[in-house]
Amino acid sequence: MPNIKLQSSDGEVFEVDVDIAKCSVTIKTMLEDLGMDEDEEEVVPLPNVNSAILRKVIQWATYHKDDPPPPEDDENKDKRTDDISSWDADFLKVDQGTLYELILAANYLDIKGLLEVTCKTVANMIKGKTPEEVRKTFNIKNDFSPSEEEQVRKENEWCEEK
Amino acid sequence: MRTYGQWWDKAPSRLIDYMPQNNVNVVSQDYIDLEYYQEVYPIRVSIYETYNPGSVIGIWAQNSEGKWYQLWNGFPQVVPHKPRIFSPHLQLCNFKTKMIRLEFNHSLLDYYTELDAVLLIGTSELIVPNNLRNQNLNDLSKELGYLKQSDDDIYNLTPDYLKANQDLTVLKKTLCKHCTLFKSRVIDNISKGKLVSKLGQHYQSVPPIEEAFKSLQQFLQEDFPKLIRDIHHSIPSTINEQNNSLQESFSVSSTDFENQPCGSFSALPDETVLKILKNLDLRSLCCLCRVNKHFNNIARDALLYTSLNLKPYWYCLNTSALNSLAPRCHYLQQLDLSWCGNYNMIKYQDFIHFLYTSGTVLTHLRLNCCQFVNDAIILEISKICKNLKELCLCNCMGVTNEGFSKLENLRFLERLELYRTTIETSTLCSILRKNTQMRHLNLAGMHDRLNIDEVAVELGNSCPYLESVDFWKAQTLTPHGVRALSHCTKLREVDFGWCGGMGAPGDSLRALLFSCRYLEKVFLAALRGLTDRDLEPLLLCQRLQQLDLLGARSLTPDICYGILLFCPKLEMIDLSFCEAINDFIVQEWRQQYPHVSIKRSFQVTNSDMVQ
Repeated sequence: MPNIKLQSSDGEVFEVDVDIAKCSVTIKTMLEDLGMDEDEEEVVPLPNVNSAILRKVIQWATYHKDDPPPPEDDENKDKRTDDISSWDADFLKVDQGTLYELILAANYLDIKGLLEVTCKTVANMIKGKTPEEVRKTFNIKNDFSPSEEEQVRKENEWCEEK
Repeated sequence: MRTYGQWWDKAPSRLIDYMPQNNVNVVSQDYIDLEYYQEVYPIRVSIYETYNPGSVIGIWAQNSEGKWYQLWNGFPQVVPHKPRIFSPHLQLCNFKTKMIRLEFNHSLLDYYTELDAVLLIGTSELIVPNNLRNQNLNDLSKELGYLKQSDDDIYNLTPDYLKANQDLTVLKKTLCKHCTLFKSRVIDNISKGKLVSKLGQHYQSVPPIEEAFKSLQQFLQEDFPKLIRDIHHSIPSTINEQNNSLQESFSVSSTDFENQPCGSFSALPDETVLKILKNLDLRSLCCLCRVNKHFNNIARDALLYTSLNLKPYWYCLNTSALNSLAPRCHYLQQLDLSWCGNYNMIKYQDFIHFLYTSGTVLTHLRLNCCQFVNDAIILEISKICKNLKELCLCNCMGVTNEGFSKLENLRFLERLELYRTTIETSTLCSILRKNTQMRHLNLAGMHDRLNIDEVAVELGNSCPYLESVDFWKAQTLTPHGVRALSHCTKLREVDFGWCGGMGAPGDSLRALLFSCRYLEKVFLAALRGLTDRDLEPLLLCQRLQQLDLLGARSLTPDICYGILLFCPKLEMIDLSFCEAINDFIVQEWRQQYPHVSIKRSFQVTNSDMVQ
């Protein structure tokens, strides 16, 4: 298998199997549109991804290289969040900063599977929590005035626990 | 109940839930509401499950204001095929109820379930055991050793079925030793129930002084501060407004100091945050709104509310909930409001208001079992929701034929479900004539004035794309209608179960099965006159998966064997009460075709045969 060189924002170069790199639609399109020749010793610059994150992304893509392509239709797919594989769950046991950077990288590189599983992981951090717990988890300040808070509580209290 | 196992979820007419992330671990597929004559504080609900027990997953009680409270929930069970008295442990319930709801999930059932009775046992006053808080009389009975439960099934009172619930009679005699009776006007209520009259004799000794002292302490510590808070909330609005303006001016200045209110989460662009929030259930979204201003904006984004499943929230969805959701639903395309709004939780005007603000781009609307749906609502639907493709109105008893006639304004219907409604023949035919894209039509359990033959003729003339049709229990279907349906060559599913009028189908069923080669599900239950000849064309249906032949007395093993042999996709065949087919041959087939589930009703289960 031919390899391709990817350069992170901080200048580190990673040599990756082309097929693995192509799970990123962004890189795939780049290679096809720009007619980048796989034999040439050219380096693909990825100015939005630093080396630590790129290393994680490549690790994820390598593990998932044989996955079937994700289904196209976006709307009717199952939005379950309890179907994260144990490998992915372990892989995503990282600090919040890294998790968000992975989301941004997956978004930029257009890697559907990684974006989905990272978004689900953050969603799981929100599910079932009270507003105060969410604030604590994400270090968010409550900026409502008491009357606003009361108003928002009234609007949203109907579906609290049975 | 009509369903069991996974079969209905595999059929072409299956409905897929919108917003499945709203569903909890166990989805309830069906429910029954039971109203009793007398209100009680429930302590035990005993469900007499006669055939194929195990599908009850929830018990609810309604209070006098119409609010529901869950007394018990659990997983569907796989239990022996024996009748049982199912009496799960209930939460302590601090209000009187006479309305009980049972919820069901049939997915693990082997065959149809049947209930004989549901016994509600309760007290006319709230009686709480002394020793432990939140423990109810059922627990007390168990703790005192009065309640004998089966070893293999802890909720089962069957082993001692003749004396089931007798433990409570025993408990009654010793009640005063262990319990506290709440409420002051006990004397007034003595006549209402024997249990209380017993207690009344001992009333003096019932609430010990410490108990009274404790409850006063509790009031001072917990309820009193709350009361004070509530009073503060209701102080005149002018004062509140003054406060607000002060606080607002404060908060404006304070934000200057804190430029990063969201931590690193704020590094994510809104578009990405939306991708995350799309995975959330409605309850989590509503909770997020309360976090801060930024989340209150983004968690109400209309893109998160294009497909809304409110059915899991039937117990709490009321008018104010609907009103608070309406401003978020400008792009709402799919709405499932089934089971919601009953017992006056939603008034029809409220839903019409919701339709005006959020109904214009609706393509899918499910309103099954909604009592508030009436002619006025149907009229508005026909005016506002011009692009409707799917409309489910099962059990909407409040709509008259006049109301249904407004649906003639729609042009794009692909699915129409009218199970147990009162639409008349000419109205329905007119709707079908104008909605030629119709794919799924549910007309099960309809009244006998509806002439299904005429409907079938209309379907044959106007609806060439029809994929599924459910005529279950339509007495007016005759061979004439069946033959007319054979024009709908794209049919994948038919249910003619219990259609007594087509007892001797002549050549009509042959014609239908012959022209519809894509059939996957064919339900012909209780058509006693079926013959081998009627079913012969099925041998050519390469996609056939489910076949119900219950009660077809004269079918021979030849045709059944042929179907097993020639229909490679067959997964289920029901041969209950097919008297010409004996149990031994069925046993043989089961071994020969292990991938096919061959159903025989309870009398002839494997264990019976071994015995």
